[in-house]
Amino acid sequence: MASEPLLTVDDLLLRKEGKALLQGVGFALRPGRFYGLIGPNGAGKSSLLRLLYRAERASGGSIRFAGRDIGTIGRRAYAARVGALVQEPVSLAGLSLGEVIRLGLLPLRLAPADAAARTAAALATIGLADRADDDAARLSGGEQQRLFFGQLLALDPELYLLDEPHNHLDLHFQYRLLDAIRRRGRTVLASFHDITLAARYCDEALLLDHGRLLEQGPLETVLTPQRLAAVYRIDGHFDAGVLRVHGPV
Amino acid sequence: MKTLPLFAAAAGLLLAATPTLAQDRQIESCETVSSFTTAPSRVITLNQQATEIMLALGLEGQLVGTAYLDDAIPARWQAAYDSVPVLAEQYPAREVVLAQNPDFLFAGFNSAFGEKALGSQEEWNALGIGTYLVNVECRNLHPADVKLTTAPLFTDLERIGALFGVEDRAAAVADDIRSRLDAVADADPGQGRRAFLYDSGTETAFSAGCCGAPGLLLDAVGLTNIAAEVEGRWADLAWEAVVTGAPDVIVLVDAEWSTAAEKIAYLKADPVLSELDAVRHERFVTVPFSATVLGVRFIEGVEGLGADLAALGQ
Amino acid sequence: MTARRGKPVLLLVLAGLALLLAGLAGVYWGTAELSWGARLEALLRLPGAERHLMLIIWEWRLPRVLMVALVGAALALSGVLMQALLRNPLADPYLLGLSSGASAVATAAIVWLPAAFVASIGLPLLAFAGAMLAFLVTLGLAFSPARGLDRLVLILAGIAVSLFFQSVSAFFLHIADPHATRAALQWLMGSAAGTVWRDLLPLAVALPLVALVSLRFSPMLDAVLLGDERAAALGVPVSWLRSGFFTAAALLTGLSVAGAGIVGFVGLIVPHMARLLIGATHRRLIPLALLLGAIVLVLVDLLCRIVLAPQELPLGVLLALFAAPPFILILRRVRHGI
Repeated sequence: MASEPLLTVDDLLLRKEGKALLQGVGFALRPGRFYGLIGPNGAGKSSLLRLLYRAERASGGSIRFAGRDIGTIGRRAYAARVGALVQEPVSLAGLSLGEVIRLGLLPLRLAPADAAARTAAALATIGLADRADDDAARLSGGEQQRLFFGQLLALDPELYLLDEPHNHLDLHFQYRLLDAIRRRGRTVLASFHDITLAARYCDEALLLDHGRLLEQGPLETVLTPQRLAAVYRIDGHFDAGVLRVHGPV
Repeated sequence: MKTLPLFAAAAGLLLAATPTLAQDRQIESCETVSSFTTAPSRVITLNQQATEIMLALGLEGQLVGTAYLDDAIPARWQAAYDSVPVLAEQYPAREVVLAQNPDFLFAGFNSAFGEKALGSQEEWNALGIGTYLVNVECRNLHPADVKLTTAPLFTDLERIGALFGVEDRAAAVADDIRSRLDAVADADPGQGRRAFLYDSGTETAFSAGCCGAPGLLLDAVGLTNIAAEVEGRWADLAWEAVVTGAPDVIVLVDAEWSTAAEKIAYLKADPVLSELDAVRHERFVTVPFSATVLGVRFIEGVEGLGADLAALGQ
Repeated sequence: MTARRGKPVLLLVLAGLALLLAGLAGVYWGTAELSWGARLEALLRLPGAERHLMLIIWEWRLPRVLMVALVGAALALSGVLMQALLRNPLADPYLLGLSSGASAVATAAIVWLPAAFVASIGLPLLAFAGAMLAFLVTLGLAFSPARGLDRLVLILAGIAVSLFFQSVSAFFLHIADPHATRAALQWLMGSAAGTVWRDLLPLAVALPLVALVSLRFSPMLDAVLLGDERAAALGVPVSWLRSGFFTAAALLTGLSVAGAGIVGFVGLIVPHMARLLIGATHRRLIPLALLLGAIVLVLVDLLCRIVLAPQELPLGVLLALFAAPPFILILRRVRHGI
């Protein structure tokens, strides 16, 4: 039960077409804790997550998972331990809901019975159990988001990477699904636009702005009124887990 | 006293000259009629049959250009042919034709007056330039399901002869062809044997349909076409049909783009075709491409084929 | 509405039987009018059978039907792969310029090179080379070190290459002697006539190989349907998968063109037919697509030989005409929830 960090990022650099999207980013994630990735639009939150779930390769710096550089970990092995909720628009056709959930189990080699059990459980959690055989093409945006959540829940990796998990979801499912994940007790790094939602779930926050990590720590400590003004450009303060805004700066 | 013979001579000359001056010449071709006051003297021929009709009637003096040969001109006309400029290897562009300032266009295939080549006969006639397409190529007169006869060729000779005032020469050529055709028909070298005419193709056999010139060739020597019930001038025969047709003799068309040797090699190499009776006993006869076209050399093809068939024996 | 229609195993067995029947029909019927007894004798190679009929069935019809079945299956599989990798329902095997490349090289050869040379190398080989050439040019145009193979760029590159090679074909056809181009045009419109047993070898080896590899990787192909990033997050090496399977699809398509000329429609429509019947999961889709592709082409080839007997039509002429109605039928039934 070591408190060795699960994920360590050091001096991370991401350059694209001459621009530095991420620069000098370094942090560590300890096992079992819920981390929130916050910052305004364009801060680099999605880019950082993309590097972590290996959809892209960093231009510089290092990422270590469980002590090993991720470049040395095989794709499947990594994907079995690190799962992601991706914000990528897609139109699904010809696959049933059950089949999509099952695809989330791709990195594991499960016996059919295990796979079926996990799939059924995930479908129940996301509230789509009665539609397991329906065509995924006919889902609404919110239902599709729930479906991808379901993939992640079925996989239940050691590290959850969530890119804008609340997107498209109504309030009930925002709380229901994030609660389900928190209950698992795994390590989570989730990006949030909604500060109040972040406050409810995050043990710690990582504040990104213009590709740099400004601070890491408890939300109240990180979001001082000065920070809110400088980064978010709003006049407000954080009070007992709720953000009170007086107006734009 | 001396002036009377002079007057008589002058009157005689005048009388002789008058018919040529006053005559209105017309020539009918497919759906058009072209009119002339005198015989055309700036003629452009397209396709070999047209050129050869002019050469056979000794009319190379009226030619200002030829185009689109399919195979070699016979030796006896070579000098005459060489005295006329060749405008193009295939169909010349319309501008090139017009630049020669022709008064008559004479074509051997109806593709010559198609959109992609020279354009319709009506268009040229409207420009005051006469046109003639060999009679056999008039689709309105010879539908694809009616068997051809040699009549269209004689129609061509008659009409061209009349237009250029060389009726006697034309009649002589026509009579010669007629008598030679009759001679072959009497000899009956084919004796009703079943024949497969192989022009080209490997996926399918491009062969003679019921009602075109190639079919006429087979008829003229007394052979029975195995594809006699297929409508059209040519037919894309499936090889199975060739096998079940059980030909006694195989007539190979020899052309630059598909030689008889190539075709024989193909037949012998195929596992099924090599077993055909005609192939195993090498009952092959060869005809040049010009034999499959109803022109003045058609009769040569008929005679050549007849002689080869007779040589084959039974 | 359910995504998975009839029971997959049942569907596959039915399709397999249908293919067997279609194949038998293709061998039993054809241009030549034979009596039933004669056909049976020839098929079973009984001692009393007539020799030339036996030859027709064993040396002509059987290799031809097998070739056409292989080509249909190969094109259908290529179509499935292309549609999965490009996540585009309109993708088909010829998208990467393959058919245009093959036509251009084949036409140029027929028109330009001496006939003996062409005959010794063989038109199929030339066509295959042309297909691969076009494919490599397309890949080269579309690949960038920064972004790998971008889907949209690839499609556009394929269209550009196709257009280029089409002009090349058109040019050669235009300057050539119409008599010579008859042969080229006929071959281009698709025909498996003249197939000998030896010709079957390349495709008979390549198709099962590619099919097995595709089946082995079908979960990854499924994952790609979810989006490139999601697939990457699930551990799929998306770039490698794409390059590898494009090459496999190009290989199959090139061999198909070599075997039977340009055969459109099958690569685009058969995957959809199969998907409508059995769903998009590749483990089930691939076998059904293979079977349906083979069936469609075997039946169309048979019709091409029968409809205008004793003349024979090229495959392309009848293909869309006869294959479109069944597709529309399936589409309507599925839409009505059967």
